[in-house]
Amino acid sequence: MVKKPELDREATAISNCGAVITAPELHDWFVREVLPLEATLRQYLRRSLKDRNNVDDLVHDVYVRVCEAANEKIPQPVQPFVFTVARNLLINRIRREQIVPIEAVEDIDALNIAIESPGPEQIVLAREELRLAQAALDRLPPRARQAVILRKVEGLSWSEIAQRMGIAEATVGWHLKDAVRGLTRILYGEGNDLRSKP
Amino acid sequence: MSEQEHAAPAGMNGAEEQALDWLMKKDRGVWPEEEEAAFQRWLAQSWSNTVTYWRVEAAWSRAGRLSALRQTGVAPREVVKSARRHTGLKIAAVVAVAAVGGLAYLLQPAPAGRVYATGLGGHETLALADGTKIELNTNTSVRVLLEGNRRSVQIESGEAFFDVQHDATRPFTVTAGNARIVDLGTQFAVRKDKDRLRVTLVEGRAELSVANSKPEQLLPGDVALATAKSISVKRKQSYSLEKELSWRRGVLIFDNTTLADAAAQFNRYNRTKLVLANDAVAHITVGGTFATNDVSAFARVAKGVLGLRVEHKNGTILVSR
Repeated sequence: MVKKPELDREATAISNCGAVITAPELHDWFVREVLPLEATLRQYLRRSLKDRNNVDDLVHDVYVRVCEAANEKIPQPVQPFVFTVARNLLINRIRREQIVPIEAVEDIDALNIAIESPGPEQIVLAREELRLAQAALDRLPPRARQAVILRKVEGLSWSEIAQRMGIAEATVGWHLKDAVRGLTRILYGEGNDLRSKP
Repeated sequence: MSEQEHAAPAGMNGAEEQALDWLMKKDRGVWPEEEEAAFQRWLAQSWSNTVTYWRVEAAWSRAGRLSALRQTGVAPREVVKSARRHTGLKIAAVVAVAAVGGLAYLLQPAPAGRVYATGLGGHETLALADGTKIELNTNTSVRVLLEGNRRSVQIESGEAFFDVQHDATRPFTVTAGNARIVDLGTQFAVRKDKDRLRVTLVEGRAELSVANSKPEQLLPGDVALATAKSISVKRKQSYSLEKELSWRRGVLIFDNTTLADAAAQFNRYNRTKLVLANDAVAHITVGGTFATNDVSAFARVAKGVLGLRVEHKNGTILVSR
């Protein structure tokens, strides 16, 4: 299964026919088209899986399958493909672990209606992005938040942040890591409630 | 979200912890070549590692939007105004925290418009409310003003590609220094260097003028170089246009390119700088396609294919015979 997505990039042909997908393109596609679906994907999986860790695992498995497939050919349109992969993995898991009756996954049909039309979250304007980042920042623990402000807003280096906060550089790393973990969860995992409500 | 939740072990299996560790190492900026190689090996180990890294990296790069707060010197008044509709209190709280953090510039009066900026190696796309898209290349800062009948973008530094939604009643102008581009339904790229401006027109038409000169009409394939006083226009083949705009795909395309030129191009994107030992090396030509951020791949080619000596030290790669 091991493709080499990043190695030997200089050897990767970039041709006009578009048959070869290079790692940077796959990365951009994944970030632009797939990651924004995560909130809806989680919503779908949560109906059948109670345990959050199970949802995390399954989202991860969906991403792996989707990228394996996209490495050969980018699936179009994206949303139905991602949700079909999710359903198949979900059915497998339910069979294997006998978590819930199989009927629980049938309502993908109901969900299809919702996922066919791109929601407003698909078209996020730059201004909205800034607002989301601010709202996500606001939910971080205070020290992690301060470290992010110094790093991203003030643009300080780690050693400058260490001086400013009066802590060791390693501790700066610890706070920033904590912050990225939280931001990832907020912006992708549970980001839905950050969007502007009509 | 409570702090307990943050402290809980991350899902997405153990790969997430490793991905975060790599991301933090990169963020710290101390990144010798061996580290890059180890990182690439880890990524290539499994799709699981790759997607997990992409996800945390994407979140961290979205947090990069916060840099807009620095560049604009967003006045608190403006923030509160735009926030009133949604979570006004939360955002006001962020501003308060920011101010406590010593961000005095938040209180400076802001020039009109909003600034968007990328750092070294950055690449961001802005989708404006009017349907226009602006792609920012590395180290770029633009000020965007959409207001009534006015649509204007000022390039403060760097390079950007514009895909303008044409609207005859609302002309779209791009300014950089004393140069001014008026769109007439267009896709074009603008790069601002120290003392000159380079405008590459891909589609449609546009007018370029400097200071009070007569406007120059640009057509598809035209590459215009503007200095403070003059404009010269050259027509390019579509292949070389593709080269000019390859940054939009995250690559540099070299074709009979001198090492001097190639090094200058890589150095625009990377903290690790390529340094050429002397003119003899600088004049060697090279061809190929490289990721803009993969300077070590280029170094390997210099060594393996061109047979040059390559030494890494103190954040530079010295290339010599």
